[in-house]
Amino acid sequence: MRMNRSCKYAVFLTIFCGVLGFVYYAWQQRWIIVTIPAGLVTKPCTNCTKKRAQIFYFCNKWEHENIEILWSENEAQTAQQLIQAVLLLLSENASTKKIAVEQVLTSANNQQLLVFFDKSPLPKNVSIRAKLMIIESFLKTLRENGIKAPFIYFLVHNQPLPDAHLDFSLAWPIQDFVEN
Amino acid sequence: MSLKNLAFILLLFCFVVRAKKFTIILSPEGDSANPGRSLPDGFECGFTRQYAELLKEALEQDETIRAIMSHEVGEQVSQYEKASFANRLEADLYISINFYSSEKPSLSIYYYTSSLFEPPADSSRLELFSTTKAYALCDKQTKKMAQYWQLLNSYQAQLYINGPIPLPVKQLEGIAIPAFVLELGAQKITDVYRYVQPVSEILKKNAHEQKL
Repeated sequence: MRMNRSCKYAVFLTIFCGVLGFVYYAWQQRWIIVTIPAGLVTKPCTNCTKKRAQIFYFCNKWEHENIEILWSENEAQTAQQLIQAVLLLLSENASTKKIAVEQVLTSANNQQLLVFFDKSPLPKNVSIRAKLMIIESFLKTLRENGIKAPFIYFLVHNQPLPDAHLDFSLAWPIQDFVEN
Repeated sequence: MSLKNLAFILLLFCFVVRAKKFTIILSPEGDSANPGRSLPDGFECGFTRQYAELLKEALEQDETIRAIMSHEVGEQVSQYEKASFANRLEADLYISINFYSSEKPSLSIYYYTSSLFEPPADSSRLELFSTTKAYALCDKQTKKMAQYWQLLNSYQAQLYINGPIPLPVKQLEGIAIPAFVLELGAQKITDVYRYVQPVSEILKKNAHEQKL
């Protein structure tokens, strides 16, 4: 009887360790991604004022719309709202899937802005030029609305935005690089 | 060494110098493991391979040009292998061929840069020369060659021409010779024929100018 009980414990422990090991491996291999619900991490907007912002997007030619957003003293919070507005306009015009900006952070020296998406905003089958114009829509909107950080990193799940053509392991300049 | 031997060596040297052909590496994007973008008439890899074969044939009609494929059908090579091959071969030009679905005939040209894309490095620190900076070894030559693509403007009535645009494109990462990405719009596999004449013409002109 005693032997049976220890045997049961051993089997239970083996299964438990196996499951734990599998979950750890799946987490390491990014089969399981743990994210905190957006509502829990969103800080209340401090010193916010409603302001009009110009949102730019490319649809055969440059178009823009004026919308009201909550302007914060925190540049990252404002940038998050601006990029989310661009995504909304792009999805309305191209009827693509909804993509959310999970978080925007500024680097310690305020030189870089880190933009975290929940999935890639770049469709797989389009041309490099079309992808470039989506990225330029974000950059132009940030630039025209006075965001000062000169470089932007685009990320998905804490990794550089995955794309077959454009390299997002580099920081993209907020200035008009197409003109340059 | 007798005068006769010296004359023979000089003659041989002149012959070797004259015989050195302008080498172009053609890299059709996509392979069996990664077929690339989907087009109405198949996958990108089929279009790029077909076009690369046609372009190679058109280029090699000129005896001063040698066109080499970066990889054969069925072979799977990474970008770093392609870059290593191009750099070790010391070819004169590298062309990455890409296709996407487009009703309009269009040709876009890109070349590599990361100068605008990286925050200024701290000069007090020693750094390794990364693959994203390999292009800098031939930056002047690439920019000079980029001007030849302007000659495509004579095809504006038939093709929508875009570029050349400097961008950090993955297809050119790590390549230390002049290199360009060509992105062509097509629907059917037969559409690849319309790009053979304009591109081969530019590459031939480029080759002759570089040899002068």
